[in-house]
Amino acid sequence: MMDGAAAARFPEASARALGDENLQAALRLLGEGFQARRTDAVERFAAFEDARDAAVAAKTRTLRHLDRHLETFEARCREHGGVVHWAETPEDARRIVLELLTARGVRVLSKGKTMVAEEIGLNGFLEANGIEVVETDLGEYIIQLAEEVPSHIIAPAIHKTMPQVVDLFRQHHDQTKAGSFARRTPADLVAEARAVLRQRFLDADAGLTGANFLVAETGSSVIVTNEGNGDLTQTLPRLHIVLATIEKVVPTLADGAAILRVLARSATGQDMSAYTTFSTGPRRPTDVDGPAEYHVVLLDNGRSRLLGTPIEEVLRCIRCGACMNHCPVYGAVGGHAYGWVYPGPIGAALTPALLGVEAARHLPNASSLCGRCEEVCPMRIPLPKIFRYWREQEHAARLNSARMRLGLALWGWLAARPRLYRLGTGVAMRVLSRLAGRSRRFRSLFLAGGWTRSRDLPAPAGQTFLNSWKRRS
Amino acid sequence: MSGARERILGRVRERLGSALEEPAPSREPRQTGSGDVGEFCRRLQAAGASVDRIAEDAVPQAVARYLAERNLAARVKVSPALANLGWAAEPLLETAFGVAELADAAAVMPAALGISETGSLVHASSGDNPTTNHFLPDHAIAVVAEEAVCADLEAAFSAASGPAMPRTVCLITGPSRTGDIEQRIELGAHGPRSLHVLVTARTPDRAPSSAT
Repeated sequence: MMDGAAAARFPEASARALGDENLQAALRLLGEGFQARRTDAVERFAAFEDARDAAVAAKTRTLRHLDRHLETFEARCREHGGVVHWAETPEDARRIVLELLTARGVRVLSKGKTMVAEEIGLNGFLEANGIEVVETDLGEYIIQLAEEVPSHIIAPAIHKTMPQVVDLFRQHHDQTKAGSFARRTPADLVAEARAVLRQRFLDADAGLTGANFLVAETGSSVIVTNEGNGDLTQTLPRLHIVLATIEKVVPTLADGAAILRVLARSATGQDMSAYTTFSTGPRRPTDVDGPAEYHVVLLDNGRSRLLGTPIEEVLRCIRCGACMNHCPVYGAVGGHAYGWVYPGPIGAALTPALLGVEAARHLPNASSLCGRCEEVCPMRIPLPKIFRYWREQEHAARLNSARMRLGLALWGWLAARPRLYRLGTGVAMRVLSRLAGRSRRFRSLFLAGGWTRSRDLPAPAGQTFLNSWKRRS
Repeated sequence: MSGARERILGRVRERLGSALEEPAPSREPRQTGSGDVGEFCRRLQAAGASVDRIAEDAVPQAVARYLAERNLAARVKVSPALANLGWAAEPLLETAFGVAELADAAAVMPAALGISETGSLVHASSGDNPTTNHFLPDHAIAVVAEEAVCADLEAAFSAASGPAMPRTVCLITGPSRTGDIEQRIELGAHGPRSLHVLVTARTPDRAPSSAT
């Protein structure tokens, strides 16, 4: 499992990421991929803004009475023969899952995509306890072969290029069948993974999935997927375990509909994902397939503490990934640099809450506050506002550097004296403009080394904004 | 673990601090009733499915024709719910009824509903309609009646959940796909490589006289 230590190394990790050619090649595809597809989907759907409002309202209403909805979910799930387990911490959740598996002699567990399993470090824990874990989502499968962690919440292997995937398949797949795999196009690789995993779905004794949401009124868990691996995972084995955090519950199916209208459009730019599947309890007496047992592990891991705080809006997140797809920082350094399960803007907002601001203090600083994340967030989470909140916490706890604190104190002193501030900035702009010469750029500048080390600083126009504004009127 | 349950719910209540306030009712389902079949078909096709609009008594012929056009073996696993569609009319089509297995290349299954808002089929599991049949074989052929196409998600949910939710309700919108390799969309990841939808209309001689 990734711990807080990796998040604390963001500066070094991001510098390395900028020099990683494979990563940079993979990240360059974000524009024509995820971004363009979302833009098209939103343009096709005239009522998108209304749908966002409805989704935000549904989730906001839910969180206000989260306790009741959780109790209703539990009661309905039980009525259908399901079992609900409550876990406060990652340790609790891991133990519950392991006990379910060992009590039934499970040796092979197939898995659909779940970020909560990453959050609790489930794979390593189960493997250490003798259980074979088979990731079945193609992206998750690729990074399992590479012994890596996801770098994106819906496209876990987005940092891998096709040649890297070819190498992984060559190393790990049966050499005797190698001749039958072409490995020339992405389609060849998809077909190869399908062929290799087909039997594994049938071999598994248990299947574990996450949940995009839980529906209280029916006691159902819902997965929204495209590959169909999640459906095979939860249908074929005799035991289905759902791993979900407590903020995933919504009161009604209609609330689920409100979320579905924005989820796929924001995530992959589809109007609907290929499969939206509601699972309610184990197989019925007359059913001929489906799991004999259905268990839901409800994990808190810090969510309940966020209710009623200035950052509770992060609990609205539906994990679509739009914020990272559109973030210039994520686009430059990728997901691994963030050092914990949730990368990009949502990670920068959520990680300090879950790991503590000391371990994760760099993440909310890894933003120019450009606001694109908030603009595309279907749940209208005010991510930049949350980054500022964490920066204030960092400052209040004196976790930032002495230099930063001195700089902020000086600037604060000056900014609180408007006449002096205007005089000072007016002089500075004139001087800098003259110093810049014909190139209108600085290759280096006193006190601005942090900027000019990696790029030129454009010269100011010669006067401040306030001055130009005055002259204009 | 009942201790954990009480502690989690206790923390939630403490943080919310407003357990007295009644929850506002959720938005009423829109239930706009029947959907636009043309729109339903267009959206399904946009999601990568193929669509054939046929008479309700022509399913075996349409299945045989589809398999032949695709150069697939004339052999299908049929969900038992569709056992009475007159399969004997296609003697060259080999049919078996029950739960699909790895060896089945194609399967035919019913969809309880269609949704024109999204171009989705609603597959509801039951003893004679196993979920496996849609996901395991390479080619899925789904049968849905025109009059079962409803307008939107809310209408479909209230119809599908009925008195009790089936074990599995799956909204299916196109064949299986993935974008996990360099963000390129490929069909046929783990679920069906192709989805063919037979949208059936009532046969005139059996329909009520008003339906034209």
